[in-house]
Amino acid sequence: MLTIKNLHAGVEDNEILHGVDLQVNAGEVHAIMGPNGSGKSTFAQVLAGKDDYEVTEGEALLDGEDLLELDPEERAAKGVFLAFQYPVQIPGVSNAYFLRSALNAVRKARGEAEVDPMQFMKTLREKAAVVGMDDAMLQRGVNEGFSGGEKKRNEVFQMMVLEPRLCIMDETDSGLDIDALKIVANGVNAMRSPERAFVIVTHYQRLLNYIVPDFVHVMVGGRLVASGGRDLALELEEKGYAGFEQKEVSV
Amino acid sequence: MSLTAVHEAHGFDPMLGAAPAWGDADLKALRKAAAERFTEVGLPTLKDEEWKYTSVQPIAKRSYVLSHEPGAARALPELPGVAARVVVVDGVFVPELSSLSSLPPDVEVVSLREACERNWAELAAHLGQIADWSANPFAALNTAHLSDGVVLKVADGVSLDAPVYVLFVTTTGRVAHPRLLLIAGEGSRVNVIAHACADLDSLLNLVEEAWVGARACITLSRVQDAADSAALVSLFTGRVHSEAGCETVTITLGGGLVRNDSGLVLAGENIHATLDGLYMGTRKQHVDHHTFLDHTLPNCNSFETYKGILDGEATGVFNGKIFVRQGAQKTDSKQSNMNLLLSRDATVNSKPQLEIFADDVKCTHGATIGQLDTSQLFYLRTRGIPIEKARQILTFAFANEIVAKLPHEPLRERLEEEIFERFASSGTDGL
Repeated sequence: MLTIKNLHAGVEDNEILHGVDLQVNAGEVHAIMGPNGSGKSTFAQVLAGKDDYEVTEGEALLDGEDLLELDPEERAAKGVFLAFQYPVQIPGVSNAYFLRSALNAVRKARGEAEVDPMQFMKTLREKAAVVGMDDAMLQRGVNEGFSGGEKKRNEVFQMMVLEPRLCIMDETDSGLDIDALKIVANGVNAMRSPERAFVIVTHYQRLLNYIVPDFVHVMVGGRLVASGGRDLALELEEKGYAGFEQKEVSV
Repeated sequence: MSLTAVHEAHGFDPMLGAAPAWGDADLKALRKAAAERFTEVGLPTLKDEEWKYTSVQPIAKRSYVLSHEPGAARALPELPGVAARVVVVDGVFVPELSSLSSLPPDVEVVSLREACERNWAELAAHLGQIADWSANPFAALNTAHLSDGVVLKVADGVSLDAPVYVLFVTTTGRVAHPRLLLIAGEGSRVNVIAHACADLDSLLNLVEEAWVGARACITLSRVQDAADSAALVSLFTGRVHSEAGCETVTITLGGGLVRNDSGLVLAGENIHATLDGLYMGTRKQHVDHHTFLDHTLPNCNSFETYKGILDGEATGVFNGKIFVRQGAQKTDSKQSNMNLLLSRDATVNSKPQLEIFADDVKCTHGATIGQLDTSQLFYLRTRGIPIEKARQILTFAFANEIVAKLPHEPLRERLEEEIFERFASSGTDGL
């Protein structure tokens, strides 16, 4: 589904990603772990199309199509979704209105009809219940006055409503207590399917106890320096990133 | 510049047409005093601190027609759910276009002229006494021409749930000086919508005065819309008494030259007052809001939020004065002015002006001028919302904080729709 080859990207003259290679197939869950400042969030945001970053080399293909050529909204229409590390507050735009606009925009781009407003509200309420969001939260401005945990739940909720094919989750676990973590993980696990892939960026392996990945990659210094299965995350938990960082320095 | 010189140089004759001949001797004296005042000060210039950013040249250069026969107005806006509708065209109350039949007996809505002729003694206490025309050249001019308009009087203790809708219209090429006088008796409740529309090449010079009795509760929603070739100048002053609530919202949809002086004198204790506004300008429009909140006695709250959205080469001005007089201890006053510039050539001048003479008060103010937030835009786009639509949603959200304050739902919904549609195609130069 997603093929990334030798991806270099940065801000102005400061290169952050120094050649990332990754193959993600439909149905797979990939975890990308790494220390602070290793480029994990940059990687996630480059895939979503944030124009603060400039891609200087390499490619990212979604089903063979050049992802980097597309605007963020076009990527969304093709089924790419980024759950933000720091979700943005948008006072004056209700969650419900926001999601209906988003869903209709995506449907329009795919040549589908707009959703029926009544049916949409019903679906919205059902999905909101899964992540413990009530009607009041749906009517409030997007993330307006939400706690850190509520914002993260709202990201997963949006993902459930928009039903993307490629879900990129940037530190969705940070700032969550254990109950919220379980809620978020349940939401993600319910969405796992043979047609859908996940790229989960995380600092800690804690989340991976609940969302079990097929592959774990270690990002250090803007490169993926190691890949493995579930066990790699457990090894990292035990030994930390120090061994990989030394490896990086010696390169 | 003297009046004659203004006239000769440009063509606008401020004193066009003789002063109305009718009225009590006191009313004639009021007109005369105002005419003398205007003759003394003339049209303001950029050298006048109060008019530093607003040139009245577009007015001075034109000649307008003043007539006591209203012109043929275009289709007038209808508003459902109102208790009464009053239409003033070219400064003249037009009974055929108004509908007042469903008002209860203790709410009077009459033409200013009829009110003056019927009971001048009662009006004399308020008319021209609330709005300080001596400090405002256009208000002096309005008072010099004082002839017609609307008097709305709600008796003590009377509540009127549905709003009274007052429409001030000028037709092509006309000048008009209408007036609204609202008298809300003690403990009364009333909701007034004043809609001002200035058609092509016209000058609508409006004065609105409100007397808000003790424990009364009023909401005043003002909507302003002027053509690019028109000018709309207004002075609104509310005099508010103890324990009253007074909520005002002004929505300016645009106009070639719009200047508002709007404010409240808090002449009592424990008053809750709000003064909010939204102004929009596009093309070469100029929209100026000068506001004032005058705290004269202790324990009053005033909250003020004005927001501006400027596109094209439009210019905006906000000047917000707050006076806290020596005796006005425990005043709680917050002022905020936020501006969104949608194009590179749009400008705004924002100036808070606080004059505080009491020592135990809370007064805050803040002003911002900026563009749409790029992180909010990115967030919306990652959810699939195209950039133009994302801009429209964010611009509308900015405006809607003020529109949402309009108490009459049909008016609010109409403006929400109009403002949302308006921003479907704005800010095209990439900001």
